[in-house]
Amino acid sequence: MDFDYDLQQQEIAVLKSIFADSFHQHSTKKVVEENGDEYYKADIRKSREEISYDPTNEDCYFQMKITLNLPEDFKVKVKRSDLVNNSISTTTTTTTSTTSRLSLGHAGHDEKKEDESEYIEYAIVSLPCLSLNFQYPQNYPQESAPLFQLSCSWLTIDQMERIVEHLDTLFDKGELVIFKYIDWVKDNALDYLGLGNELLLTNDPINSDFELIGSRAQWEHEYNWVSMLSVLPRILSHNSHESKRLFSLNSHTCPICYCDYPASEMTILQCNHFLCNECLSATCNINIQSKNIQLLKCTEPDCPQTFDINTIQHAASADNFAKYQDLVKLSKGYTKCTNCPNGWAFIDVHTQSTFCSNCYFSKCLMCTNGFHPGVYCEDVGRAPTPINKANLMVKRDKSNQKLKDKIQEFQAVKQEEWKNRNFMDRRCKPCPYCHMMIWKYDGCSKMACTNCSTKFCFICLKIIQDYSHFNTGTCQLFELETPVPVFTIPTKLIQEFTQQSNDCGAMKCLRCRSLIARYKFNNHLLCFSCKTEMCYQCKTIINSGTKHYTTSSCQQHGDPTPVATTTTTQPKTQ
Amino acid sequence: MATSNKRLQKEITDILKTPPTWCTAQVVGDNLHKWKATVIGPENSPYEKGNFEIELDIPVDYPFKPPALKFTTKIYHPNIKSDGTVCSELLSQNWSPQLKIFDVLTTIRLLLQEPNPESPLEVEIAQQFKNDRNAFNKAAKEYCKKYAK
Repeated sequence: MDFDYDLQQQEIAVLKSIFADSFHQHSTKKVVEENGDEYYKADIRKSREEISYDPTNEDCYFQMKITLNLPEDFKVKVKRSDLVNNSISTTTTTTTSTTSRLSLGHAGHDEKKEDESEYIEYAIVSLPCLSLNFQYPQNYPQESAPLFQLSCSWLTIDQMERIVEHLDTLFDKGELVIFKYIDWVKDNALDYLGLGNELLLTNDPINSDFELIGSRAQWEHEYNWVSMLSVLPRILSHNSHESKRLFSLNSHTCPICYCDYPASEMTILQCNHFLCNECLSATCNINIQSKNIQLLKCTEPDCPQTFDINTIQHAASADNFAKYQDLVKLSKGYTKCTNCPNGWAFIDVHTQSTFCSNCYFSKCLMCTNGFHPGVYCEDVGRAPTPINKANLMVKRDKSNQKLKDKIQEFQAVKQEEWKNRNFMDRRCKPCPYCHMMIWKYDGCSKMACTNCSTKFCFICLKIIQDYSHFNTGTCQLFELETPVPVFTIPTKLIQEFTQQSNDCGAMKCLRCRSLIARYKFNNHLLCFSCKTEMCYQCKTIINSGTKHYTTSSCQQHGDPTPVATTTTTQPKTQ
Repeated sequence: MATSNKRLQKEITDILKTPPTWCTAQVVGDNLHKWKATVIGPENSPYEKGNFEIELDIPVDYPFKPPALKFTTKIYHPNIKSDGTVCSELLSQNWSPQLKIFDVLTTIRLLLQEPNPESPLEVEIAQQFKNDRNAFNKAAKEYCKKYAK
């Protein structure tokens, strides 16, 4: 019988030249070792040059990796309840689902993470490939179709069997058919299975026992996979790699500066939106400087993706990155430790104390002295200052009525104090949340604190959210008086303030511009508003406490006659 | 600075190439950071057919910071002050560097179409807008006839 190896060889050559890297040859070689042991060794030839067709070798088969053409808005859907249950059920799947959580943000292109939606959707640009393994029977293509087997990780065996059955119908006697198979699977398989533009992965357990060795449809799975849901991490990681590869092939136009850059000079975010490195740096630096860390996010309007900390570290300058970390800590309710230079103290709202993890110093928020649990500040002989009392935020502890009353009482005292201070112009008021002095020189009475971004009414100093406050109450959105011209207040204030503090001297806080009086010629000043320490002599911010006076030329107790020492100075209140 | 100049250049050429029907925009003198725009009042609003001139002051940090707006045409509107200033939060709240001057003008047109009496700059007008819509429409139309030609 005359077999047509020529035609077979011809087809192999064509496939080799068209598909190159996704076309492999598999065979097994018998290896006999010197001691007589025999074993079979898999021989996989991937390179185009090495593939050679030898019709006499029956072990040899060819493998074609087929990457499907996906519609543009293709999505993989997962039932939310499935994903949650899956992570709890078994230990083996916990690992897979944690990876899926991680890549959840990774591939979260147009993904909607709203809690009410039943499905979680992942936008997918590329699915892992299908493998078509085939072997030529001797009488191909004249008499019989090639022997083939289909395997894939993300289709069920039923689905693959349907494809296999359809492929059978494509063969006509005498025709080379492999290319036709590949073409059909690439373009039509998804539609044929009725998947359209979404693939639903279910949690139904798959029993792999019934898999037959000779079956023409094989599920490519790992030993601990239990359902189609286990494929999700593989799909997502493949998609993320593939989309990165596709992205790196071309140059792209930055949506901000409209310049074209190669992919290497652009940053692609987890949401698959991208921008050029220059614009990324500018976004980071400008927003950190203006303290709007909530704007460090994807620049696409309505995209909720935030920059991760590595992106910010690379993009922002070193100064700004340090500033950013401080801002993040402030926004998380930490406060700078007053005891050590680099420490950050967390605020314990129940005991109204702070604790620094660096120097282990614990401070009472009432009297700013060391923490004294279970004892009133008055009882330990340290009367709390009105300002520090008012520093306590009422909203921190709503349950304790007694404390609340006390705070309000002190706040009232403090407000009265502010009103009475003739040196304090009406245009400078403390923020009701952090007590930073805020100076209004223009605009409406809805103010945003430059320190903590709290929005408040400048007239009644209440924390507000929107403009409705000005419609309902007595406060006017615009005050009738013309604003005080810029830069005239401070000098006048300093003069008046200096007189009141017995000519001991006063200076503006270098950080928040509050006025601080020098007390008994002590040059170590502590800002009552933002708790910054400063030296009155060299007018710099001190981070090292009173050590400054032993290491520099400044003297702690200044000019004429040194008086009894106090390490930290409270502003003189009347 | 480099970014903002390049981008503004591009934006102005885009607007000149395909001018929108309901607004115009041009650069004042040689300074790319000062723009003058006109917005035609949207249909079915009391500002219909009015020509409202707006001065745009574009910061050097643009597009990372939003531009500042000022109406030079007098207008009767709860969210626009009598001297023409607009609340800066209008743009800064949802600002993204991808938004263009054209998007800013769109926002203004939307504001003309649907005033927001909940965050007013002119409280009296807002009250009137809420309580006596006809009187508001009439006043707005009159202003529009008188100033916005």
